[in-house]
Amino acid sequence: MPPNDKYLQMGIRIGLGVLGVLIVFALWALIARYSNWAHTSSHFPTPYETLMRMKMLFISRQELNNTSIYDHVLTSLRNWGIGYLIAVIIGIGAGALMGASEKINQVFMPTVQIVQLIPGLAWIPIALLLFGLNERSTVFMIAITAVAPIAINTAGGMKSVPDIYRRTAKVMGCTVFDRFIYVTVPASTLPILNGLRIGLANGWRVLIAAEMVLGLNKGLGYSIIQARWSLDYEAAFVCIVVICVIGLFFEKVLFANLERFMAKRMGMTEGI
Amino acid sequence: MDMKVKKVDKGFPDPKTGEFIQVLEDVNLKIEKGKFYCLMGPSGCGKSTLLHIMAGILRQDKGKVMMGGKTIKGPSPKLGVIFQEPSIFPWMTVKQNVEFGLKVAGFPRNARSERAQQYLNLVALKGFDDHRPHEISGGMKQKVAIARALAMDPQIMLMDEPFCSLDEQTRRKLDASLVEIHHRSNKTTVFVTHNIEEALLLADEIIMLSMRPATVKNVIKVALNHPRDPYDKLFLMMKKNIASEIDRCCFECATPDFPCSCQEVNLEGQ
Ligand SMILES: Nc1ncnc2c1ncn2[C@@H]1O[C@H](COP(=O)(O)OP(=O)(O)OP(=O)(O)O)[C@@H](O)[C@H]1O
Ligand SMILES: [Mg+2]
Repeated sequence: MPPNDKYLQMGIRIGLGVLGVLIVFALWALIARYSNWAHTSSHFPTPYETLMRMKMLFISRQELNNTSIYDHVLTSLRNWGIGYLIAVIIGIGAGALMGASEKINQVFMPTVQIVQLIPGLAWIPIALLLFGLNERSTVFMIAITAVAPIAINTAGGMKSVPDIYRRTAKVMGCTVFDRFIYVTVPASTLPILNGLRIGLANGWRVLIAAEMVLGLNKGLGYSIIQARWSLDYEAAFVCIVVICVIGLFFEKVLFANLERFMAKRMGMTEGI
Repeated sequence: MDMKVKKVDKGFPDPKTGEFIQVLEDVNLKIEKGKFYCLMGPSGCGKSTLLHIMAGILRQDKGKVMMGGKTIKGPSPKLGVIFQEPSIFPWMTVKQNVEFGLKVAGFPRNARSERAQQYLNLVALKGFDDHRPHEISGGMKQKVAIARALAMDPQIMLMDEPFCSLDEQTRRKLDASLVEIHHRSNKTTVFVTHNIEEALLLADEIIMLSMRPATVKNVIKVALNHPRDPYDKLFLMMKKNIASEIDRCCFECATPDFPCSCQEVNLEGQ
């Protein structure tokens, strides 16, 4: 494809995406208007009001539930980061072991798959029993929901490394360690990244939910649920928008590019 | 270095039925130093299996394989192996691929870079160092695999149909450069092929395997001088003889419950 065409296509794609967002905003405005006309109990925030509230929270730094919005965002991000980091370490470690040994795989894979089936919020009682009503419970829930897809994809990726690469490594004089570092890891990069992306998204979703339920005075999820009492629905909407933006950033910008880059580096893009 | 295959048996359980299938039965080979051998036989008879055993990455059920008087127990840097499937690592550049064995063996950076360059030149891939495997053609990939094996300076090269997926023209060119390389390095080589012409172009001796369970059926000496002309009278005659022998073998050993794959070893190559 000539370069002009490529940019044109990209432009069209972005344009269509923006159009979709605009349609959502238009619908939102309509629904808000209808809702506010039909019943008067509480005000349904319009896009414009949400934007104004966002400005107040972010630029005028008005406090929300006694804390700045930045603090809420940072708290959520921090819990997410810690929980995710734990999940990555355990997930990749366990996945690598399961990928390396069929016996270990048979022992642990059913458990990991069961863990993956448990909805994130079902872990709340266990989190509370283990860690009590504090942020460690949130971190635990993030870690436990993120760890399974990471482990499963790592194990699957390592097991699906074509045998020809293993044999080649052997005849080239690789030790087991060399083979792991130079062959198994690069050959399974893409499935591992895929697991990491799924884990990250799982963690993010359960983080918001956990903050809502645990109610620890800080965090985006907490702020959303607080709107019930403070009737500050605009702020709740702001938080939802922030959650979407952060989620989108990690999934579509960070991971999408990382995966594309790695696919190229690992030579997994199809040649001619 | 020379190699001996003594009374090697190998079988596999059928992946579906679990029934044991004898693939190699009493295979005996004498590979002499510096010679070029071609290994021929019907598809599925066990050529790759035999080569894997010789390379030390598959255990035979019975018998033994000796190299320079020692029994082979596992893969060795003295054996350079080119597999039937494409095997260069897609996550490395051409040069990194060629350097890989040297890197694992602990060569310092400069030395291995120099040596890799030398072998890339040898297979006429100068200037492609930084290309990635998906950016080069199938024939070039095989050349990278050859350079990678040669760079480790093995005593014996084991090559499993390295050019079988290439077009006739490229194949001939690579065959010619292989003859050249063999002439220069004088490395003992065992080369599996389906192609009679290719075998006649390359080999000092052609080892013919029977159908499964495979044994050595015949060893044909090719006493033609290099460079060989595939249109030379003697060459064409040998080609015809081998082809008719394959046909006869096929006719004799075809049984109803064992579908014959000899037709794949056709007269003109693929
Ligand atoms: N790991 C394995 N498990 C079970 N059966 C196997 C295995 N490897 C090879 N076989 C069987 O052994 C036989 C010989 O296989 P091999 O690959 O050595 O044949 P080949 O002569 O190299 O064939 P081709 O010319 O098509 O490459 C085949 O019937 C194959 O199905
Ligand atoms: Mg084969």
